[in-house]
Amino acid sequence: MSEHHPNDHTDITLQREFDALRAADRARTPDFATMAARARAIADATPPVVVATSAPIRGWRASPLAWAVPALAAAGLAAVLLMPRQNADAEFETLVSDWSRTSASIRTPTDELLALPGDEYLRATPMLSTPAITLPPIDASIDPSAEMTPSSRSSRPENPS
Amino acid sequence: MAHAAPPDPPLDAQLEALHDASFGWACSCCNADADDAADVLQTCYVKLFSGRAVFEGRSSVRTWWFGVIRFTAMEMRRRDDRTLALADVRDTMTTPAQADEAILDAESSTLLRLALTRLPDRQREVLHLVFYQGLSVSESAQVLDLSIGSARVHYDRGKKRLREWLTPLFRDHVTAAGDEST
Repeated sequence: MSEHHPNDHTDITLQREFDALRAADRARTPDFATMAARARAIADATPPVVVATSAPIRGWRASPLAWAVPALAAAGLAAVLLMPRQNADAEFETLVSDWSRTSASIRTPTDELLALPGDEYLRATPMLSTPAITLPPIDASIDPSAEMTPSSRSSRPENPS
Repeated sequence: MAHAAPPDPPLDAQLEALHDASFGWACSCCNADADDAADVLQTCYVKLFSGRAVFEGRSSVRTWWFGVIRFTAMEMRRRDDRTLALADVRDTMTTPAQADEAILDAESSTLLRLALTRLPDRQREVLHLVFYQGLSVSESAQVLDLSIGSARVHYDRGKKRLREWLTPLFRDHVTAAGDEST
C-alpha cells in the first residue's frame, strides 16, 4: 500500500504520469521465456562456482616423510636457542642464593640504635621448669579445711592471754 | 478451524509474474536505457539459474529480486564505466538552468522520463518504487537498504523537484480537474 496521499494534486498527477510510463515500458519489455531460456543456457555452460578452501598439495610436499627434515631442523634450532637461556637462569639462581646467605651476617653501624634494654628477654625462650615464686612446703598435720572455714575459726577456743 | 495458507508458487513463476515490473525497475536503475536494462535483467536471471543469487526468505520475493537487479546494475555501471542513457541530452546540458529548460522543452511523453534522469539516484529510485511499483516508502527503504527516515526525505525532495520541473503537466491536470468540476 502506498503511503502518499492520493488527494494531493501532485501525487495524482505523478501517479498518472508513472502509470503512462509503466504502460510504455511494458510495450518494450523483452519476453520472459526467451530471457529465461538464454539465462539457463548460459548458466549450464558456466562451470559451477566452487569455493576452494586451500590450494591442493602437490609434489614433494605430498609425502609425510618430506616434513621430517624441516621438523628436525626446526627442533635443533629451537634447542640451540633455548640452551643459553637455561644456563643464564641457573647462574642467576646461584647468585641469589649466595647473596641470601651472606646478608644474614651483615651488621651495620646503626644496628646499636635499634637495641633496647631487656630485649634479650624477648628473644629468649622462657624456661618453664623453674617456678618464679617458691612457696613453703605444706605441713601435712594441719587440716587445711579447718584452718580456712569461718565457723571453725569461731569455734576455736580463744587464747586467754 | 484455521485453514493452512496455500503454498507459495515456485520461484520461477513468481519471477515471471514480476517480469514487467522487474524490467521497469531495471530501466530506472539504468537511467531509462532499455538496452542496458535488458542486459541487467538477463544477468540477473543468469545469476539466479547459476546459483549466485539465492532467495533465502528473509524478505518478500519482490524486495529480494529488486535488490538483486539494483546491485547488478551498479556492478555493470562500475565495470563498464560507460555513459548511461540519455547521454546526448546530458551533453547539451552545460548548466542546471539549461538542463531545466531542456526538460521543459521535451515532449510530454518523455518529460517525466527526462525529469527522472535528472534526479539524484536515491530520489529517482524511491519515487519509482512508490509511484511505478506501488510499494510503500518503508518497503522502498528495504529494497534500497536505507532507513525509513532517509527514504522519506528522498521521497519528499524528489517529489518537490518533480513538481517544479513538471509544472506544465500539473497545470494541465488542474485545468482538466476544473473543467470536469464545471
